[in-house]
Amino acid sequence: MKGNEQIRILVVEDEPAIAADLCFVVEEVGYEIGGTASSVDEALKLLEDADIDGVILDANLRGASSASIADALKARNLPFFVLSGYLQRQLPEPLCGAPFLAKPYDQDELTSRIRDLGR
Amino acid sequence: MAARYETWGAGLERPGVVAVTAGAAWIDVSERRSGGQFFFGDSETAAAIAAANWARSPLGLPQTWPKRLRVALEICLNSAFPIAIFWGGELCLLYNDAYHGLLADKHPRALGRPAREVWPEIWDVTGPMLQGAFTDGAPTRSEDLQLHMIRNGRRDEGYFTFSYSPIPDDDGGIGGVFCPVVETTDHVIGERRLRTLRDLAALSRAENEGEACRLAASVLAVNGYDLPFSAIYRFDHERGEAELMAATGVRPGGHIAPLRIPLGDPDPIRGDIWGLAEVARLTPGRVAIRSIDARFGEPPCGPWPAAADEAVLFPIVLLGQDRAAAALIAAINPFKRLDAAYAYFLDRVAAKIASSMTDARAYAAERERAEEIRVRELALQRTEAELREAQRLGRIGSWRWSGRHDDRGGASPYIARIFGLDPDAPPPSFAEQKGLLYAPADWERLDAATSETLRTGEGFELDLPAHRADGVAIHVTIRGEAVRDERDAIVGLRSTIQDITERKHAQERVELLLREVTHRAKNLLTVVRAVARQTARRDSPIAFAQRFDQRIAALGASHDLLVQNEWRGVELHALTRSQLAHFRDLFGSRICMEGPTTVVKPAASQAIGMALHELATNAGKYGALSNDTGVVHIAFGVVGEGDAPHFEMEWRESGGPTVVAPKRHGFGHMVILQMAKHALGGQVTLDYAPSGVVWKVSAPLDNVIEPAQGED
Repeated sequence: MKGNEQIRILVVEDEPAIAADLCFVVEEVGYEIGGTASSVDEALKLLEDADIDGVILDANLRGASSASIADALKARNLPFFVLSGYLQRQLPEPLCGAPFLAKPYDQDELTSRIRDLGR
Repeated sequence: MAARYETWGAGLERPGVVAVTAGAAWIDVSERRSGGQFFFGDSETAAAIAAANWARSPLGLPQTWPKRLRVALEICLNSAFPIAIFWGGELCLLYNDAYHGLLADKHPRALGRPAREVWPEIWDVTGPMLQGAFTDGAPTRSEDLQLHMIRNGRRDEGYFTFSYSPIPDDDGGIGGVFCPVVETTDHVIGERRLRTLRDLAALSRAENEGEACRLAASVLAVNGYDLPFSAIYRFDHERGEAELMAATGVRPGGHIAPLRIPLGDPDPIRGDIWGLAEVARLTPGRVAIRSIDARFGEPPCGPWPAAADEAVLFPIVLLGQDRAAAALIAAINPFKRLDAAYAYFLDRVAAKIASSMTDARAYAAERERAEEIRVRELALQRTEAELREAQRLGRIGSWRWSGRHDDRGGASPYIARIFGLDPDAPPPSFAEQKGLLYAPADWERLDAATSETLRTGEGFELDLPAHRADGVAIHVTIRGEAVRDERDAIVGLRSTIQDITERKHAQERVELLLREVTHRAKNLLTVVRAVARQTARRDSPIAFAQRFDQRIAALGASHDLLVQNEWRGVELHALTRSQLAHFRDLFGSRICMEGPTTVVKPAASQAIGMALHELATNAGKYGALSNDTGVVHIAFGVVGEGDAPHFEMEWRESGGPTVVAPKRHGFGHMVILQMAKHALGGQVTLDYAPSGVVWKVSAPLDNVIEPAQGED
């Protein structure tokens, strides 16, 4: 926790409509959008440059696995959860071992998962 | 012969006989007389001459006979060669002992009788010849002349070699005819029969028994003298009948040679007229003789002036068989006795036919066997070809293998095709296949499976990745089972190898597609959900229903295009038309589109599609399409050749009401700006210029454009 400071969430999702929805929910929860990324490179760059407290991570970005992002997040000890239309067991390591939210998601569950990122 | 010459020579040296020189005008013969009679010697004929009553002969008493006649007669009587003398105008016959055979029972009454009386039966031939020699002095010479004399009460076929030479009489004219003669009957007939037997032996091999009979008959037909007519019947013991195979000198199917004869049938016309039932039971060497009586009507004569009155029936027994297969009916020459030579000849003919038929039967059987083998081989070849084609069609090869690692086994041709091996080279041994056809680990799985089958006899089935000789990865299904010998011991392995590469690829594609479709479906549901939530956030329930509907329809439209194109991207003109379907009447007039044929990626198509939908909705509500004059200009294309080509797209409105930038941005704004930027990974700007809204996209080519099919 960062005390009184705003919690900044990075949304990594290549589907624009979903990314938009996720941003709205993040703001509803009371957190701030630390950035949005639709590709692996973009996400890794934002992790380098921006001040991020938690990440919503789509498992598949324009056909590429986001496993490398998960690795980077683990290395930084940043909280995140994986969002995917695939079954969790179909995902490669380390995505399949991370907290998981299946698409299409339930609003309340999404809200509680996002809230957890700030704890 | 030497002794005969001696006798002859001794006669010449007798006293009183003067050797004559050519042209001698006189001749002196010392005459021995006995009891006032001329003495002609000690021969039987001489005695007969002495005993004959010459008073009744046109020749008169021997004392009155001209000197020349007496000289000639003496030569004749002293000769051991058959010699006749025809003397005087009536050509009265005198002859010696050697001549008796020609006369048979005509001796001794022929002595001194006119030739015409002695041989009326041949006078038509010999008469003119004799007269010619006698009157014109022209000597004749005949060889093997056919003269059928009546001797011993029957007319006999006979052949003679002789000459008629004139004998001068005492006053310079021609007194008679001198005739040395030899009968060549046996020689001529023997030659003839020998020719027949030789021709039979020289016949080419027949294809079947019937042809053997017909070929034999073609030879017999030439010898009508010994076989005035003949017929060969084959026995059909099962049906109890005999079938005519061939006939000579007689019409097949006629009264004498019916086409079929029911064996043992007593009917005098349609029955077994030849008694073939009896012949069928004869053992080789036995014959049956039938006289040709009135039952046969008028039998043909062949070359003879009279019909045969007797026939000999031979059973024809084939080699290795114990009963007659056929019968030969041979009519007998009516002018020749059935003597031992004749019987022997006919027996040889029958034997020849038997051996020809035996050969033909063996040949036919051999041919049948060969044909059977040929048919079987053909069938086998067809089966093999069929198998080859089936293997090719099913992409299956087969392999038989002893189970030893160094054994190459026997592979069907398709094996080489599957693995890209040289079809003419021997296949690699099992040990060599490790690393060559299968990765070591896969080879070991195969080794384990085959070892297990060789040990237990249990078959196996394995799906294995493999490699062609050229390194291309393939996938095969291998099924194997144990091969057992007649004692049920496992002696090897039989297996099929099926190339399932394509199926495997298809299967993988389907699996991928299924995963992908599931993923996309869930994604789409999430999008729908987000659209619903975002739309609901802003609008009243009635407006929500309308807006939500439109947005879902727009999503659906781009999805349709995607599906139509099998998820390989969407063409931008088509995408634009589908998203602006509501304004389709304005295309070409108030909505202008400019750009090359451009296929965009599935994700980009969805973002661009949704953005176009929102832009069009806004334009219809507030912008260029909300009045009657406004125009929307849409342009897209690739700019910047070389290293960093970019996809650019522009939506420019003009002629609409003056634009006022909205105070609050809703979901549409987010879609047009954020979502497009997000999905395309480039720059997106939305300018609320008073003259008209301008939306601009610039994104790296790779994010937007689907690479052309076939080049990557």
